[in-house]
Amino acid sequence: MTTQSLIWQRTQRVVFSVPVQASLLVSLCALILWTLYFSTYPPVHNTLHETRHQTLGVACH
Amino acid sequence: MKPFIRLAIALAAIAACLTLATPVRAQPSIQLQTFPPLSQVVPNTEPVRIDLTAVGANQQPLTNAQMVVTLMTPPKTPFWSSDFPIVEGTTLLELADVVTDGQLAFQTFLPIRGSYSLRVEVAPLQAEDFKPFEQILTLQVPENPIKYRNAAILMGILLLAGFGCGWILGAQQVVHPGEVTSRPVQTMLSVAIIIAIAVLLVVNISAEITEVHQVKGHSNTLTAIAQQNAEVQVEMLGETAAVVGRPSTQRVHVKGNSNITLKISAVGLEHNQPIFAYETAPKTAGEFTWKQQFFDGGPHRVTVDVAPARDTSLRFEPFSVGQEIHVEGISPPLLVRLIGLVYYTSLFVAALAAGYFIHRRNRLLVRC
Repeated sequence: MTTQSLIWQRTQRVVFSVPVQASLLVSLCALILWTLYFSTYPPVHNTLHETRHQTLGVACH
Repeated sequence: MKPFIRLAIALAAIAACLTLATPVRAQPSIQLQTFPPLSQVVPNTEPVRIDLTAVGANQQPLTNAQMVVTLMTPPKTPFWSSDFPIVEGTTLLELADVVTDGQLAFQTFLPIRGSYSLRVEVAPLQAEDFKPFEQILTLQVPENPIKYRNAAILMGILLLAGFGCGWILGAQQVVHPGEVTSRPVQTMLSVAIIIAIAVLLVVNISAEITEVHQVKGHSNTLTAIAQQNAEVQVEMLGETAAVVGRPSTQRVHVKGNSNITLKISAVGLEHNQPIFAYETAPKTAGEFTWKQQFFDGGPHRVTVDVAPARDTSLRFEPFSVGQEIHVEGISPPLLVRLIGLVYYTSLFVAALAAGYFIHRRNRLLVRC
């Protein structure tokens, strides 16, 4: 087995391990939540302005 | 009975008589009424009418008094932010006026839940009439119930999604030849990617549609900043630019006949939302000044309707003056937003962990 394929196998093992998969899922969830509820990017903020003001614990302006 | 016991009883009886005979002098105070009652107020939905009556020690309204009202928003709560964190712990309104009947009434918007502080200072126009006093009243405003419902829905989605993902991760990972991970995990990751794409698509398309509507819906109604007739001249002199979180000074300048009424109103133009209303009759020609905070970033309009006073023979066609105020919104602090994000993400993490460990334990129990 070549060194290259060994590195590839090890990378796959790490990427598809439970902790990394769980971390990816949590990051995806946090990214979606941030975009929908907390981002100040004007088009997103304007679209979801009312929803943000009507959800507990969400700060808006 | 021993003489000193008799003496003690007699002294106690005299003291009791004196206490009962001395009337308890009531202090001058402020009576507060709100419409709707505070328990029924839903923040950021409709204006609340606040009626204040200054009464003397005899519980009769104090006539010819100067009343100064300062309304403060609830204190800052960074760990459980309201929807307007910049507005927390700031001055919402400062109003000073002369009242002939001890009553001062105004309408204001209460943008957030919590404990508002209303300081009322009362002073006589003639120093000998009564002693000046001040009182701080507390206005407890409940949270908007829709917020609880929406938060419950969001929490439900996060818990279900987290538990489902954890359940799949907790299953035995059977990797088929030529594949890098098990089928359920592949499916889960694909679904997660589809959800992310769908969310971003919906957000971006909705943003485009909203932008088009906003451009179409822009109105351009103008009212003169100053107007006059043969009897009276009224001019707006207040600030035309404001920032959320800081009170803005508004001023109406009146020249000529003072037998008029001024109906002041402030409206948020984005939703045509009335946020402040007050009616006054300038006792003498001059200026009427107040400070108010515009808590929502966006254009606002302050209008003053001028009409002859009810108890006067003065006649003229009522007219209005007004000016538009550009209000600069301030983004909520990053830390406050991060705290909110951490709360909701923690729910997902907890559900993920629960799903993973419950499924793993069940699998191990079955194997045993």
